Amino acid sequence: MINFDILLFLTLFVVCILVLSLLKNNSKEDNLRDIPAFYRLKGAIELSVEDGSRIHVAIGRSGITSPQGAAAMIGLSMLKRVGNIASESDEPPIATMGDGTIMVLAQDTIRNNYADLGLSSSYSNDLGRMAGITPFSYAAGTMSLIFDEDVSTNLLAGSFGPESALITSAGERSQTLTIAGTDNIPGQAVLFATAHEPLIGEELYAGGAYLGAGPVHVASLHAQDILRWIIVGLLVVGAVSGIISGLTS
Amino acid sequence: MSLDQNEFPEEELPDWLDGLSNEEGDPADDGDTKPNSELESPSEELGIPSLEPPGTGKLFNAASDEKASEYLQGEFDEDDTDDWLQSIREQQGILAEEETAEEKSDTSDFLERIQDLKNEEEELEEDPQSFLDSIGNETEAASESEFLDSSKIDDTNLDWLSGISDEKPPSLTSELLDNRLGDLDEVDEKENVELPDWLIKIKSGEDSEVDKAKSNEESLAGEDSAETGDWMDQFADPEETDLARPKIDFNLEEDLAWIKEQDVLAGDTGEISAVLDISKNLEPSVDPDWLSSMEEKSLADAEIEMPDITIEERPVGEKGSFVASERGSELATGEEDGISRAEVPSWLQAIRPEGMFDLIGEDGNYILGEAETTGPLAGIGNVLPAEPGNVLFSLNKVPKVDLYVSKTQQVHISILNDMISAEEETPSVKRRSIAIPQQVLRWIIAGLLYIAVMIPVFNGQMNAPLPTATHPEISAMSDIVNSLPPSSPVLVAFEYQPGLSGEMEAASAAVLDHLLIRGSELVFISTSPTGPGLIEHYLDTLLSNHTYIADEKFPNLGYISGGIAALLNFANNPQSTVPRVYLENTEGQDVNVWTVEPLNQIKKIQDFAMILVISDDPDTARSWIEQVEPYLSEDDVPLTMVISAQAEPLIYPYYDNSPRQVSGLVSGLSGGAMYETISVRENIASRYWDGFGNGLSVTIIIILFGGIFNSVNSWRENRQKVR
Amino acid sequence: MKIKSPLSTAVAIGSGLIVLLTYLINVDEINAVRETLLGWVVIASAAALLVGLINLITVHVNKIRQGKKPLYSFVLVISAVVTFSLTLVLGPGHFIPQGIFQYVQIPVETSLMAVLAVTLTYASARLLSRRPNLFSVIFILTLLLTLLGTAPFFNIEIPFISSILQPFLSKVLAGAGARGLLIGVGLGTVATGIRILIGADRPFSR
Repeated sequence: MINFDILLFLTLFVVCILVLSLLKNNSKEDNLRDIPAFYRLKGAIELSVEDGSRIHVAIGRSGITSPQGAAAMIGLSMLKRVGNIASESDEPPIATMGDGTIMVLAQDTIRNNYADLGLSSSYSNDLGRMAGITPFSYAAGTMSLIFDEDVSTNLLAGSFGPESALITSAGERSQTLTIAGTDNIPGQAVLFATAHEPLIGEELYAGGAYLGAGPVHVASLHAQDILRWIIVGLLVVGAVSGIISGLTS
Repeated sequence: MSLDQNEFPEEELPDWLDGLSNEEGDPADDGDTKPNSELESPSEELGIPSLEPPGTGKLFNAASDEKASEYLQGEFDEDDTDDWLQSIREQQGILAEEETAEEKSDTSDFLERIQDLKNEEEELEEDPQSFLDSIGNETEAASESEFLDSSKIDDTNLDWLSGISDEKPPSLTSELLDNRLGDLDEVDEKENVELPDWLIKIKSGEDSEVDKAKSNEESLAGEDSAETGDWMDQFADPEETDLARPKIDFNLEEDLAWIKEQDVLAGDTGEISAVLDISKNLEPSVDPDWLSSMEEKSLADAEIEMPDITIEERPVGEKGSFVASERGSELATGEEDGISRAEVPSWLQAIRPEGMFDLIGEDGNYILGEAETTGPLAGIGNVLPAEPGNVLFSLNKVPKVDLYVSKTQQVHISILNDMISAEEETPSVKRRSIAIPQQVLRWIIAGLLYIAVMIPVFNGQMNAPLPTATHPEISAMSDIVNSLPPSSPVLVAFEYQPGLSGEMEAASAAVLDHLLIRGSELVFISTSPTGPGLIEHYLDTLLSNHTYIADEKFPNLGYISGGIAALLNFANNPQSTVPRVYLENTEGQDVNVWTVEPLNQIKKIQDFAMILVISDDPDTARSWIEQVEPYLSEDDVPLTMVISAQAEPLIYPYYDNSPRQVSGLVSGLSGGAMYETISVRENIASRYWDGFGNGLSVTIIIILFGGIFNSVNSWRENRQKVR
Repeated sequence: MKIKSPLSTAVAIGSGLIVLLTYLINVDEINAVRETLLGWVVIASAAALLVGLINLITVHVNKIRQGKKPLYSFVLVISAVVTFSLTLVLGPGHFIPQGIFQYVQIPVETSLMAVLAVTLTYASARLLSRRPNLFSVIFILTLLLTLLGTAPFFNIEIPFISSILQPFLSKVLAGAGARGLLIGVGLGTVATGIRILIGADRPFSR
């Protein structure tokens, strides 16, 4: 028994990404819409390097084995990009998370950043730390880090629930910039009210493309747009057909 | 003294000659008080016969000669000096343009000049006056401009000398010194301009020695003539030496090295012997003839001041005399080779290069050392010891500093230094302070909220009406529970965090109570690490009144790690996912839960009569729907949920679906209160209802008025900005 | 031992494809492999949880060494070690570990939830000041209506709002919006998964 609809969907997605990646390699323009949060993030990274402060990348509480692990992977991609830029600064970026598997991957990411920059000896496992196991303990551990580690910018990229308001609140009280995105819908509602620059909807998943993580990120972003329009079309067709069938019956 | 080419540009005289010319031309020195700074040359003090000292000794003896004095005074009046300085500075532009060419010719010129000096020496011995005249002419050219130009010389031509170049220049005249130190004063006070060590030393020494010199002068002028009984102090006229006389440390080793270098460069090693004879004259207590004669003359001649080993403190830019020592050095007596031993002043002893006087044996004879075997002085014996710190046969690592620093240049240096230092300094990160007004406002809001919530707790009254409207998903939940046969195995998943235990307990208590009343056998599980603890807490506090719970015979499968993967694994094969969970049976023995009721009936997840998920997280709830519900739908096993109010918008569509993926749904405290209304059993949701309502009411007021206030405030600020 | 990057990438991609394949094709042999892999994942996740705990303790031990608020870190380390040791020895069902959980962790986290309520109230009140635009106004109005419909306003139930408007907002408008967002999030999740599966995005490897 073969699940054709899922297979078709995945095949279409993969083909879109691969084709758009090839097209992207031949084009210099990304054709991305403006998301102010990412521009502000770039400025914040440069500023933190200049003034010797630290960028805090919070990857959230999801594990790699859950669907929210995709958001954590985006957080890792952004950590890698931020680390590439800011690892040479006096205060290198620091990452927090609430799951052991993501912690291991985050430490690998930071370690590779240091290795790429020839700073392997400067690497410390403390740069990727698990702040807490439960969502609230994670938030509590992250709050203290924001106050103690000379953080100037908080980038929340991962899976956060409403407890993220505690983190953004700590950022606001310490007068630091908070850019936050989550895949959690209640978390997004909270971040809309509490973060300086919230990433709503799937904007979080665009982080890699906007931070220059690679052409595949841009291609997958365009593939998402294509499939979104396909889904919208299917929804409209389904709704209209349902109405018509209801009226006719 | 440095042998660096910088200090020996084309046509440059040795330092002390250079100083001579400048001192002679010092307009500030009147005839009465002007010390004959020519004598300040260390070599003179040492009675150096070769090159200049013999001649200059005579010369300086002759400096008491009126002819010489007149010449010196007349030849270098202020105007003249300014003119030639100006002309030289004008030439600097030309010289700068010709820099490259000069650099190439410097070495040869230098050698030529050494030869000239030899000639001058011979000439001086024959006719001191004519020599003096020639010096007067030459020193015009060999003045400041040459020194300044010297800095432009390419160091690489004299790499082997570069190690020495850090040392002070041999013939820095007082004028230059004062000028440059004065100019650098302002710069140095504000910025850490990297100066050569020798200059820093001189500069600091000058500052520190001024007061000391003054006090010493006073003592000299006063009564303590016994202590100043050396030959210098005999010439001292305290009344005429009011000004402080700072001592400048000269590096004799460098001076001599310079002399040797000339010889080496000239290729005339024979001259080295003459240079080395200096050391013989350095024997203490031997006054050279020329010095003795000068001494006598000085005593007799009122115009001749004390030996020019004193220097007057002069304002910046004023030509100063040479180094002075306010302290008399002990003179030893004795003669050797017809030259009376000169007393070595203490200042000179202080500045002597280490090891130099060590070459003098106990008998006072000079100890001939071994010839150098390496370096540019190879083959030369008794050369001054080359110390690692002084002589480094390598490129100069310290950049040269052109000491002539104009005011404009000082400003530029200051700006540049600020820029550089600002770049080098790691900015101290400002500790980000906590915004106090925000914190105060938070405390006020917290106080209002907590008071509103606590009032019903204290007064114990339940005034708020329970929700009367019942939602269909809540009714569906109640119907499903009512439809369960007794002793039905029901899997209850605790998927919330301790922080939301208040809401989740209130929302689910009525449902679990209803299940236990219906006689269902509950089996507990969690994919959250805190789940088992929450289960125990829940059962102990809320359901302990039920026998099934109180007997503790219920199976608790505990925590299954792995998140959604573990959940899928459990849905596939429950027993293999949690194989070893033990329960104490009625006989007090631990038995595997899968071997006793109710789990002994469970082979697959569909064997449960109902699945109840208590979750605060829509993602976790969705995981159960997406991973487990497909298995349950095969046998129409109901998947029901008690969720947090925040998850309702996301989970409700799964109930409102066809076919339903979630068969029954209770959301939030209000949902729990509704369920209690339906089941007609009061539970904690009803008890929380008043406080919950009060808290929400205060929240509404705060948000409403806070929003209005902030909107108006923001509007006013924008309006002010527009204005 | 450090596994070479191409090999580890191949293992990762292969494992992911096998699990994905079981969703597409229902074959017993492949399902058996998936179950084995999932069993490993469960064990690895539990081990990672322990590694995370060790990391947490290590970070705070380093803080104590460096003198960065050592008191807090000291309390944390001692608490973690004592709780872990007691739970390991006595078991999670023992009254001492249960007491620690019930009388320490639950009250602390519940208090954090109370702080969160204050924080959200404050943030909502300031939203119009921080981001004065139409969306913020809509956000605040929706929030107020939902709150009014959730519970009686000072013991007074507002009929229309609680029975009609609030359910409409939360179940229709909010539900529809959340669905739309979820579709976007789902697409992003799938895209991320595909990037990882095809080996195009592995931020944690060089």
